[in-house]
Amino acid sequence: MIRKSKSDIRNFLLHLLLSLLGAIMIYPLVWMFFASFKTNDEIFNSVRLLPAEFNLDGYILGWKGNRQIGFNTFLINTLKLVVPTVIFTVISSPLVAYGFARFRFPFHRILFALMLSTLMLPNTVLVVPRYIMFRNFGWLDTYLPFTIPALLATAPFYTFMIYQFLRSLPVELDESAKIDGLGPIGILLRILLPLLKPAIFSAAVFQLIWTWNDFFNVLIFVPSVNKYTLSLGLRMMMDIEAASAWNQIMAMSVVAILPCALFFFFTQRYFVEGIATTGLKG
Amino acid sequence: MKIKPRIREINKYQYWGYLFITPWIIGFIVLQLYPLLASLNYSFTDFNMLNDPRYIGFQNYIRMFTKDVNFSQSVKVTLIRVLFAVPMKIIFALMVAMLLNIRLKGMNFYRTIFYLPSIFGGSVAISVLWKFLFMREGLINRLLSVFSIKPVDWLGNPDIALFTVSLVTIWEFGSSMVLFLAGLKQIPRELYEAAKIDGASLLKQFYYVTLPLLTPIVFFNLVMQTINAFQEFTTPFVITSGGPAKSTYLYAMLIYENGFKFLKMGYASALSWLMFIAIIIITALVFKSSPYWVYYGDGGST
Amino acid sequence: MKKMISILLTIMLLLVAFSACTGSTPAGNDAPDPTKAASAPEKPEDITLRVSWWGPEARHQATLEVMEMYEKLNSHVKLQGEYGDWNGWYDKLLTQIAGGTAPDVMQVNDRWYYDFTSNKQVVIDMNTLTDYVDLTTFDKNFLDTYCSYNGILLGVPLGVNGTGMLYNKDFFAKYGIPEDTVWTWDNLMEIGIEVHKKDSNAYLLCSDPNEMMTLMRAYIKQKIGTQLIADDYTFNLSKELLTEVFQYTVDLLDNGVAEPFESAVLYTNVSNENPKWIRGELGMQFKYLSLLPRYLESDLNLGIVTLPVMEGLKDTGVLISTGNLMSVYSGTKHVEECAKFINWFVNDKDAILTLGEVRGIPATDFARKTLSEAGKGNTFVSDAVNIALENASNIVENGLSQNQEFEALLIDTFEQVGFKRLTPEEAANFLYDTMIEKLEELKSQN
Repeated sequence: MIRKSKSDIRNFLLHLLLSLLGAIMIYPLVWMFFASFKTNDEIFNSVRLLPAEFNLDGYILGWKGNRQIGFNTFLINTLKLVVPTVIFTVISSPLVAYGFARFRFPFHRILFALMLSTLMLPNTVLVVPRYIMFRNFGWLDTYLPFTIPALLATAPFYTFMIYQFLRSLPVELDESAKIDGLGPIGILLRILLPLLKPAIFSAAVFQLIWTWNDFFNVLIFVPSVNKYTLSLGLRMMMDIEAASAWNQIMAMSVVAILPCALFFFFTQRYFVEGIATTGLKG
Repeated sequence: MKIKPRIREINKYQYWGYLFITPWIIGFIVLQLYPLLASLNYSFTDFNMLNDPRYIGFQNYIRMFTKDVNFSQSVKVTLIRVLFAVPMKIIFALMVAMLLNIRLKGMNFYRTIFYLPSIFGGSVAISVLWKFLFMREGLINRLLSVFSIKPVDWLGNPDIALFTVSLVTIWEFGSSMVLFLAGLKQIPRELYEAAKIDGASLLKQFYYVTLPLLTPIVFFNLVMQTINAFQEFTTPFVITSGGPAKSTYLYAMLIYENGFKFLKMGYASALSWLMFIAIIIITALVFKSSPYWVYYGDGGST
Repeated sequence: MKKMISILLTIMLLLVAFSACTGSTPAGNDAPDPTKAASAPEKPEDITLRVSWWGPEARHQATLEVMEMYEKLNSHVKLQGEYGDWNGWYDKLLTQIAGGTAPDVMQVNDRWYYDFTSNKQVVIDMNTLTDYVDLTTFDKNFLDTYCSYNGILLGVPLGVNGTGMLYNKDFFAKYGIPEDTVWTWDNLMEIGIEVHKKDSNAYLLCSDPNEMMTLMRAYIKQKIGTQLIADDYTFNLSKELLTEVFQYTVDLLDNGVAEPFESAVLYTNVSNENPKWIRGELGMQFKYLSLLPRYLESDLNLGIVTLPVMEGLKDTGVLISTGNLMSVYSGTKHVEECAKFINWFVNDKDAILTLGEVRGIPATDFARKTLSEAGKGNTFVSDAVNIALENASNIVENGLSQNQEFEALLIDTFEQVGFKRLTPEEAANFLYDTMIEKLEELKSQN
């Protein structure tokens, strides 16, 4: 009995601590969500979380805004950028990871070290020469600077991530499959890929969210307003009308991050556990 | 007799590896190696996109260290930021992950909450939010005024702005936390049971069981977060434009401004190369040190 | 697990399909439709012109409206607007120019003369396009003085811009400051101190660091009466003068005449968003007059006066410029169509009436008359420009003094002083030495 109540107190304290911490963490986001329904005056003059009344002006005016290029264009542009990039990543990364994890070909060590070292190769370092190169290719103002690198698995993070998961899968699996007469492609498709699903899924989620939110690269490679993604559209809006329309800016910020948040809520259980279970089962 | 053919069979398959890594090899050569070398080449020129480049030797590099005050300033603030934000983030992520690893009802819910901020990364929307929270008339100051604390210029004061901007990164500790959580779940319960039987305290359990088994994840986080921290751009660019008084003028902004504002592609390339070398040295040090503190279950061979 | 993946795949496929469908409609590029061109040979080929500008919301709306009008008149031309805020616009345009993706028609700032002509010629000399653009409506002297550089006419001026001090009438009334005060640098300090004594929340000057620096340029010009940097790369500012300027700035800040940088810096270039200005706690601020419309949107009761002066001044320092020019990008494929559009944009009556004063007071007599006859001229802005013209500086800033790197250095140093990172002497020494070095470098390059 004493033991039980002791652990009850411990659990209660733990819940209290976590709730408090969680509330602090999430308060800004919740606040932003509700602020998008407030009037501009209310945003500035009230500390209250909930709006006095739900006002959709921020969304209606912000979305349309009497402009030739509005947020519908930015949203479509974002999709045009994100969807192919994610699909290409999901195709290319497992292939390369498999190549590195399961084969010991000549120069394997060197090539793998190279790939690992590109993990340390910051995007910022490459942005100037890449800009010049993409300009020569005529790729500026297109989304090719995002999709082609994804197709060629040049973001080593995803490859490395899947590689790590692959390494945690016992080699005996492959060997027994080999004895059953499966070739390398068969082993990948039939044996490893099903086990790798959570890792691949995680890679897709990461790529989706990072590309969706990317600002730096879009800023540099996509200079024209009609090709802007949500990030750049939002920044443009912030510069133009910060004083007059914080409610519109808050509303469009919500538009920019809500899809990410929803996507996360629908997949997070699977995604987070994906990471956990792959590691565990390996 | 029986072993020989099996080895040959395995060997036969080894060359298949090339096929699988071909996309990466092409991508590596065209999109990484070539730009990197081209940038080294540009770094010895005065290339500005509009004129034909001229070779000017090491002048760009000399200029950085002798003439460009923005360079020393941005190196300083970038290092401060890295040294402050990376350890804070990792420690915070590990602590929260430890709490969440306790089997308790509702843990999934908390995990979702803690993870949520980090999915937004360097998003502009979060920068917008941050600006609104921390500006003089912002929410934080208004909350403080409830406790009659005077308004603080979170973003206007050069001594505080870097800290305020770095808070975004720490707030987004979720992905590190998830990796730690995954690592914690991998640790077999038997190890703790055994430790308990040996009479180890919670602290000792953490030090002798948890921490060693988590070192690969600490390692991974340390490397990735350091590199990310060096590249931080969006938040300071959108919120403070590197100000006030260049106190949030991070290295990525220096490269951006020289390259895309003054079109000094040659100089920007030199700056990029310096960053590259610095990151190589730092990560090499982390890698070199890893055998001393990183524990790999399968013996650590690659 | 399988279910999740199939759901995800479906979502992705839907997204692709969605983006592919919607993507094909607005893909308006220069590529003419071959079938259309073949079926109607006498019709001019269909083209799309990209037109870019920066500015406040009112300017966007008026410009887009005018563009639609032009499209109706010229059915073969499709105009695509690219616009945003002044902040960062220069970087963006430069990136586009460097990348060869600049818009066909672009609004440029006269302060970019140097950067746009010292390297490759970025815009087409408007003098060569007189077949399509009627330049006779403009004052020739104005074109030569304010819009040309080395004989190259960079574009068609869109307005006359000046500088002045914008003040809040209610603020002046509250603190008993007569509106007809002739401002000097001395009484600015004295009155400012008194204001701050009466209310520690109130400051006479709104201190947007960028604009304060520009105000200080006027101080400098009043002292020296020449270019800041002469055409022969001589730096005309002495260390003593720079120290004096920085010391004056520090005094403004220390005495509470100017709002502290700490609270003002977030509103650099957008002081209309500064909550203290909106609440009427700031009395006055330096302004480029082309920015007035966005200040007039507020409920504040505003007035305008000329810049402070000093005894024995050699020049008023009141900068007059065209501010914005409409230029044709040298890389365009449709020079003629661009020129025609620009001509219509500045000379057509309907266009003039629709655009009003969104880019300041129009630069042609015809446009000004058209607006005032229609009762559309904003008297506030035109009065402000007239005040500026009456006090106009005799110095038309040369390209070197407008060099972006010099401007950046000035502002950075100025901020360092304002934030007390450097003393006025240190800042003056640093700025002077760096400039001498930079100018030598530039001289050796050209």
